[in-house]
Amino acid sequence: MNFESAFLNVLYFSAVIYALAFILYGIRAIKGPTTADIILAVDCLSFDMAAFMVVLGIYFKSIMLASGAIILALWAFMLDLYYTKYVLYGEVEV
Amino acid sequence: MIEEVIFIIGSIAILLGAIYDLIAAIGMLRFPDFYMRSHAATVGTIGGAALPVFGAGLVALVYHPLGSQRFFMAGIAFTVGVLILLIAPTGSHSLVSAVYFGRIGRKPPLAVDQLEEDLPKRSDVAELVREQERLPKEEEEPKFSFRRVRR
Repeated sequence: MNFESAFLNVLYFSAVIYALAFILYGIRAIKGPTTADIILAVDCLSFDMAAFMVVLGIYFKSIMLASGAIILALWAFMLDLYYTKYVLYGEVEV
Repeated sequence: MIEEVIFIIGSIAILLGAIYDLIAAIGMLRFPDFYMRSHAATVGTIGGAALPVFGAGLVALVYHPLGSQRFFMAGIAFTVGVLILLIAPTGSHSLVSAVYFGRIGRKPPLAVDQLEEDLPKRSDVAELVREQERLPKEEEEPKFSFRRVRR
């Protein structure tokens, strides 16, 4: 079993579905009625983009691409916490 | 033999995660209000991000074209997976609590809302604050604060 060609097939199917999902999340992020909807859509978008970056890092054989996924996931969490603190307390304590 | 089994399990996890992600995106676009959308978002983060990351870690363990870098890649993938498992429920919970207690947007029509009944009324809170408030004296300078007094 040739792992490289088999993984290319897996990447081919999953990339199409991921791209479709990214477009749908982007539509909700653009037209969300309140700010919380935009934050929620961007949150999902960045988590899924982190997952897709790990898969792409295997395909391109680079560690540097995959290690950016850690930063992206932590950034999405920071966005949630800052929005919560701003709404509930009116300030962002560092 | 065992490498092929691990590779097939990882590939199935990646494909299943992509399908979860598409379902969550459709739900995010079609659900009518914020609380239902947060339900779709939790499906999209755990099923659509944590599952394919663990699958990619399993694939990277046996993917020989990476050379000896494949163990680094698997370690990064498992680290990202554990981080997402810890971070995504916490972030969703804090966001929904901010929307509920900050009264952002319009609430959906609910049959019963017991959390609303337990919360103190806004007029009661204002009266309590007025009772406990200590007026600053003349020579005392008011402290500078970023905190908003009233929303």
